[in-house]
Amino acid sequence: MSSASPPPAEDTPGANQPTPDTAPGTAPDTASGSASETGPGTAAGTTKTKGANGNGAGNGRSANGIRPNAWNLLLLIPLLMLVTPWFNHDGPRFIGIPFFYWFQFLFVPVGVICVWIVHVMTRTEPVRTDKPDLLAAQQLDAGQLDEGDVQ
Amino acid sequence: MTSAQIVELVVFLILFLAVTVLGFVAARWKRGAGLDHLDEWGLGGRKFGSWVTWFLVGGDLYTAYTFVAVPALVFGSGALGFYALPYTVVLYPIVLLPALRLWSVSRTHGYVTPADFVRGRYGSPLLALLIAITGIVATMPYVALQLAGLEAVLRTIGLNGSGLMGHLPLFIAFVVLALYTFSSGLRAPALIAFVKDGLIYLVILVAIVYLPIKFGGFAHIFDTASHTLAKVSPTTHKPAGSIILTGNNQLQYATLALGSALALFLYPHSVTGVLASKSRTVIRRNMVALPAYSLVLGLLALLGYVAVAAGVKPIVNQATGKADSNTIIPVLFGHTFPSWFAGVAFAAVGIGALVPAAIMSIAAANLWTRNIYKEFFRRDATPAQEARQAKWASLVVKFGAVVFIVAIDPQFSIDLQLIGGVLILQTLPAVAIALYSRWLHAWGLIAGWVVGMAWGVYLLYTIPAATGKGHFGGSALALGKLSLFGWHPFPASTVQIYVGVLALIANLVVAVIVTAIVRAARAGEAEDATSGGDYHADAPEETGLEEPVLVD
Repeated sequence: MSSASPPPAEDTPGANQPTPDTAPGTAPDTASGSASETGPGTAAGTTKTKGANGNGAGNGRSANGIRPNAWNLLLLIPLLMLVTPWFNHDGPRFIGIPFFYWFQFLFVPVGVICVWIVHVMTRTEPVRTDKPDLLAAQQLDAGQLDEGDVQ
Repeated sequence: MTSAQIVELVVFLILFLAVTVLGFVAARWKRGAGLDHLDEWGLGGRKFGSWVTWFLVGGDLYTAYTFVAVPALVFGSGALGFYALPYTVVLYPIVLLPALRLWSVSRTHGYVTPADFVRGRYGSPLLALLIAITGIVATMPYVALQLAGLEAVLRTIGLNGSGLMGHLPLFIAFVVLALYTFSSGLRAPALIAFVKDGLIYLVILVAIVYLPIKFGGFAHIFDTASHTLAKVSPTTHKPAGSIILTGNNQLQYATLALGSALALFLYPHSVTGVLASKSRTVIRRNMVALPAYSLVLGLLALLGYVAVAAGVKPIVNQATGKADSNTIIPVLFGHTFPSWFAGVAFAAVGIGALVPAAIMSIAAANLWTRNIYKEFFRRDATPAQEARQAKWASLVVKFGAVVFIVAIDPQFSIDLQLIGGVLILQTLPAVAIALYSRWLHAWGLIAGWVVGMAWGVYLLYTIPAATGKGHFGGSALALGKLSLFGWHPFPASTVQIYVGVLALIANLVVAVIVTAIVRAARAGEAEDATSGGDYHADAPEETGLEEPVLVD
C-alpha cells in the first residue's frame, strides 16, 4: 500500500500543470504582450504605471498594468507539495509520525519563507497613492453612466 | 443529560453570552460615518490593520470545518483527509499577487464584491449577475457547514432532540448571530474573532500535547489507526481508508488541495476579508503570517487518528437517526478533558462556526445588494438604502442555510463545502484571470461558466454515495467514469479526481474557443472601467515618516 503504483505517479504531475497557467504564473505570460503597450511615453522599468491611465479602456490588451518580477517565481516552490509520490511513505517516522505527515508539516515554513522573501524583495515596487480614496457607491454610479452595455 | 454535560453546557453558554455582548458592542468599535453605508456595514470602513485582518481572515478561512469536518474525514478515510494541509500551504503563494491586485482595483473604484469588479472590468451586467449568483449559491452550503459544526457540538453536550425540535438550539444560536450581525456588520465577527482564535489556540495546544501522551504516543496512534482503517467495511466491501494515500486517491488528494486553494479566494467572504484591510502592506503581511493557522489545521486533522485510537464512536443524530461523524472531535474532547475544559473547547468550536457564518452572510448580502438589487431593481439606490438592503439580505442568507441543514443530512458536511467549491471555481476565469488579462471575451466567459457549471453539477450528480447508490455522494470521480461525448479517455481507471478541476478545465476550454470565435467575428465589447495603474494603487502612508511613493 505504501509503494506508489506507477499510473498515479505519472498522472499527478500532469494534473499540476494547469497551475502556472491559472494562478499567479499568468503574469509572466501576458506581460510580454501587454507591458510594452502599457506605458507609452513612460520610462521602462519601475515607473510605468500611470501611462495606461488615459488610454486604458478598449480592446482589453492595454490596461493590465502587469509588472513581471523574477522574485515572484519563488511562489511556485510551495506547489511542489502537490506531487504526492515524493512523500507518500510511512517511513522514516519522526516521534512516531509517518513521513507523509511530518514532511507536509515541513512545507508550512517553506511556504511562509517563500511568501516572506517575495514580500520583502518586492516591497519597494512603486505604488500609486495619488488617487483620491474613492469609496463605494458614488464612484460605481459614475462609472455606470459612462459605460455602454454589452452588444 | 449527565452532570458533566451540564457543566459543559454552562461554560458554553457563558462564553456564548460574552461573545454575543461583544457582537453588539462592536457596532461602536472604530466607528466611521455610521453604519448606514455599505462600506461601513459590509467592509468595516475598509480600515482594518494587520492584526485585525489576521484574526478576521483567519476566523474566516479556518472555520468549524477545521474543527469538525477535517478530523471527521481523517477519522473516516485516513490520509485523504489530510489534504487540508497542502490546501492551506499552496493557498497563500497562489493568492498573494491576485489579492493585491484585487484590493487595489477595488479601492480605486469602490468595489465591494468580486462581481463589482467583473462589472467594471467587462461592463457586462449579465456576467456580473452570474458571478454574484454563483457566489451566493456557493456560500449557502459553506454557511450550512458551519451550522453542522455547531450542531455537532450542541448534540454532544446533550441537546440531541429528535425531529424539528432537535434543531431548536441551532435556531436560537442563529437568531442571536443574525441580530448582532444585523446591527454591527463586519465589525462583529472581526471583534469576536479575537476571542475565537484565543480559545482555539488554547484548546489545540492542550489537545495536541495531552491527547497523544494519554493514548500511548503517536507511533501507537498511527499503528492503531492503520489497523482499524484497513478493516473491510461490510457495506462497501472495501477498507475504509489508510494512513498513506493509495494509488487511487493520490491524484484526488493533489487536485482537491489545488482546487480548494484556487476556490478559496473566489468565495465572496474571503474577498470581503481582503477588501476590509486598509493597505497592500496589511495583505502582504497577512499572507506571510496566516499559515500559522495551517499548523493548527494539520494538528487538528491528526486528532482524527487520536479519535480512532481512543475508540470514539460518533453520536447518533436523533433528527436523522444516523451516526453523525462530525461529532467525533467533540466526543473525544468530552471523554478525555475535564468537563469545564470540554465546555471551553465546545465554545471554541461553536464560536468558530459563528464568526465565518457571519462574514459569509455579510458577503452574500453585499453581492445581493450591489449586483442584483442595485443593478436590476433600483439603480438609484442611495448608500443608506444599500446598507439597509444588505442587512435584510444577510438575514435571508442565514435562514436559507438553516433550511439547508434541516433538509439535508449533514453526515459528511465536508462534501457540502466541496460541492460549493466546484461551483465557485467556475468564476475563476472571470475574476482571477481577469485581474491579469482581459483577452477572454465576456461572451466567452459566460459560455465557459455555463458549460463548467452544468458539467460540474452533472458529474456531482453521477457520483454515488458510499453504499454504491444515490447521487451527490461526494466530489471525487473515478477517471474510468469520465466520458467526453461518449468517449472514455481513461477506460476502467479507478484513479479518482476532484470534479471541480475537471469542470474548470472544461470552462476554460470553452471560454477560449468562444472568445476566439467572437473576436474573429469582430463583435464589439463594452469599455473597461479599470486601467493598469489601478491594480497597484495603495492607501497613502499613515506615518508621515516615509515619503509616499508617487509614481509618475
